[in-house]
Amino acid sequence: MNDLIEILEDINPDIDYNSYDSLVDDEILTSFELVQLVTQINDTFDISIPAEEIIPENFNSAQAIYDLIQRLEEEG
Amino acid sequence: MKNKRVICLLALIVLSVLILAGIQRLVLPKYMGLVVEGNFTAEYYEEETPHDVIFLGNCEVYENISPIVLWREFGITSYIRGNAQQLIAQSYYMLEDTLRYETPKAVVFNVAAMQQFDQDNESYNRMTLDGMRWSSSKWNAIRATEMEDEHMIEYIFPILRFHSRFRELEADDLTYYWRRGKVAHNGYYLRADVRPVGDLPAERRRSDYSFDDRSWEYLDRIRQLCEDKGIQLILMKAPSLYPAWYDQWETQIEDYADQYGLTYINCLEAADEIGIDFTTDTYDAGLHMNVYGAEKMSEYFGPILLQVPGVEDRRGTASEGNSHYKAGLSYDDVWREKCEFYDAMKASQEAEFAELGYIKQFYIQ
Amino acid sequence: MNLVSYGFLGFLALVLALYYVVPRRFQWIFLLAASCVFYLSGGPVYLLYPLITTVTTWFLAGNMGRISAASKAHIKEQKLDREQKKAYQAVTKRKLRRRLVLGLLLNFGILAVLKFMNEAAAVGWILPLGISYYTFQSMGYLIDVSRGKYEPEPSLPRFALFVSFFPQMVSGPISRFDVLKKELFSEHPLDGQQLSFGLQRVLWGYFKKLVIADRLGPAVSMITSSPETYGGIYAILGMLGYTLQLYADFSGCMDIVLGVSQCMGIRLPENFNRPFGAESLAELWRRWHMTLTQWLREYIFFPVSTSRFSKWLSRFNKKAPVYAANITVWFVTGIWHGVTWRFVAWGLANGVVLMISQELTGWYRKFHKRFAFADSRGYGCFRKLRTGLLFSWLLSFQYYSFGMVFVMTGSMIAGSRIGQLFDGSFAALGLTGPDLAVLAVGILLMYLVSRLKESKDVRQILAEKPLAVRYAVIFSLFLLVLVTGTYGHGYDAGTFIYNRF
Repeated sequence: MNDLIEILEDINPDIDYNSYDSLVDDEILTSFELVQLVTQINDTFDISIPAEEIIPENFNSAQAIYDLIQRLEEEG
Repeated sequence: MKNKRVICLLALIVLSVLILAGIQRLVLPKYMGLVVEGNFTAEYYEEETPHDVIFLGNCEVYENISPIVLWREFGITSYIRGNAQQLIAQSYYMLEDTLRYETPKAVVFNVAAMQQFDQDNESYNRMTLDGMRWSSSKWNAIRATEMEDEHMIEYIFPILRFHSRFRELEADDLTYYWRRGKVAHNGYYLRADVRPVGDLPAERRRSDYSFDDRSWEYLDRIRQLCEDKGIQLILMKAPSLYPAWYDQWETQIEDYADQYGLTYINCLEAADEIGIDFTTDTYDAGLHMNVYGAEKMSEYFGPILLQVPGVEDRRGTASEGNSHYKAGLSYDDVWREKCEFYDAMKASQEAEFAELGYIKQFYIQ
Repeated sequence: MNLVSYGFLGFLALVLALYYVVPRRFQWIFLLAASCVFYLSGGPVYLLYPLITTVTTWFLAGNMGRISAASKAHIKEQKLDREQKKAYQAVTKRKLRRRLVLGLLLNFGILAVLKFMNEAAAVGWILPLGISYYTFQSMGYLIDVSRGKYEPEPSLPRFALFVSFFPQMVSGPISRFDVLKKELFSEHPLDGQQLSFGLQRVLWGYFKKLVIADRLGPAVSMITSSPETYGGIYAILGMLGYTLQLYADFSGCMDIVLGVSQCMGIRLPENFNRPFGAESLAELWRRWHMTLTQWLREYIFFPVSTSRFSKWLSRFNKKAPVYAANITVWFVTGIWHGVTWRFVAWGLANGVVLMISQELTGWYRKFHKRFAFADSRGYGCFRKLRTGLLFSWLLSFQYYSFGMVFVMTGSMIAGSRIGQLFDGSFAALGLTGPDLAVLAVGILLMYLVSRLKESKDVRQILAEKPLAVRYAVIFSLFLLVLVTGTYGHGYDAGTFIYNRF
């Protein structure tokens, strides 16, 4: 989780990621940032997030992203 | 409560219709300036007495025959139902329309329209058809002659056609908002200016001189309708030098007249006999007669028309009535007014022409 | 059938009347029939291409659905262990992929060939109305099914309605099947409010299209098509006029489309969300032609940026995948709008500007932290204005050649004199005093309504007013369209700019 927050703060340091839960809906994460995020997550966690998983529900909060990572790691 | 709502809605609907009608009237062209031809068709409905002779055709009739002279010299009552570029199908439906109001003794149809069946300028259609009262004849006339990008609904609600005029509204649109001025003399378009015949464009050779089948079809329908109503049909060709009238066309019309025993008068050939002088009797260099030419034409035509059974000298008599016209009006009274209007317009145009060399209303800068 | 024609209005009146007469469970069948009539009005051949797309997409999707189902069943029955399961899933995935690729190649192939023949090679092949829209929509469906997002539609007629629903077929919006099917196939009882709101929106659409867009059209195209004659201040006017015309035309068309659908109780996705309220180009593009940008994001941007090629690229630069995806999306956007280099240049120019501003994000944040005025309202307005101008300027890649864009930019900045407006060349544009007055009123009205919409739907505000007020407002708008609309003789009726795509 801490790794993830670090990556997120890299992208935009002004957000409190522990509480924010509409990152995509509020356009904090636009498509540019989403892809940046996905690439870095893939590298850090050694997974591969497929395009069809890039949907708002999976990226609206740090927790949702973390859940996604765990799910993919399990399926891995 | 419910009643109140219904009344409210009804009032709003009436209000809307009134506003729409008011705006429509405003944007319709008034045809009171340079172009007055758009008023011809509607003026017919203001007639008070019936007519023995009806002329049908395009500019070759409404500029070349003066019903006023026919009355004055021969006592013949006549009306010209002609318009700019009035197509033969439109002439047919115009005749149908006329027959709703009266049954003349003779119909004179000018055959120049045989050469072109389809309309090539939408504004001619509007000038001819907009003034017609609504009937199946108007509907069918529109159907038969509308151009590709015209729509019936634009005839039913002319605002759809003319709304773009909001950009060019002028004083006339208010002056003639309620009532247009009278512009024609029983359908005759009076011009007292003179422009002698000059060089006419060369006659173009055509590959095919036969008339359109649809033109023949409508000529047949005109003839048939006249036969059914006991009306004598006379064919004429006006003495216009241009557009050209080819010998091949002449033969076809002569043959048709022979076949059905119709009188056909080619005034172009008879020009000398009529006494037309192309240096003084035309206002646009040979395309159309001015009032002097038209008066000569009328003097020539009078005796011919009087030969038709039922066409009589109506001077000193009272009108017979029918379902449309009141009986017992004195023809003299009705026509005196027409003559005065005619004489006044002629005199004022003559004065203007003598002074300026042109007529202000029809002068294009 | 053109949306601006008596024929369409008559058709619409008839369809609406019958829609609420037929038994409700047949409403969708009636809509399918109406859509066929709508499309057939152009001639029988026009039905051919949509039919091919409908049948092939429906068939392939159904096929994929069966394969996925069989695969799931197999895994369950055989109680495979993890490794076996993975291997089996990979085989299934390959099968699905083959079918997906076949469908995409076939349908985008038709689209590409027809568009190329018509626009680049100028061969007069029949280009079915809205082919880009229904192709994108159908392919979105095919991709979704292949991803297992939702089950394929078993009924061919139902799927055919999804492809051909007549209001949206001509110029979008591009809908998603799982959303639209709920709207299309449910029963819609007559709802006075929906009908009234729908009709009001249709009227508003015609207002934007006929009073604003089509009146601007001829003058704008005169300016934009002859940069030699119209430089300086005219180039600025042309640039702004082009943008305004495009917006009024396209968003007006959408108002008609969504209004018509609303009359039938069917909600389509919005395509515009006050784009000129955006404070950055990226935001503007999220509010302009939204269903297309969403489509591109979902089916091109994300897949490309997560592709194997992008992973390979990311070894060189972390941002490379984003940029590769970005360039691809904007190339496609360009081609979508026109198969010419100008449109490609326009698309790529947008992409480049977006990348640059992305690079500058950090710098922007520092700027805002440092200077308090940057968060003020006035600065917000400035940003909106700047964004609108940037968007307008980028649009000039569509009508000027690449080099000319920069020549004309120079001319706008250095060569603009107010005096140019009064040297007689303005009159040559054909806009008379009354035209300008109508435009001024029209644009002001469009702006005010857009401002109002920020807080509340204007129709809702109106609905709360007394009958007399409602009547006065709606009837006035109707009169405005009727009298000052650019339609019929005296004007050359223009087709919606976006029909071509």
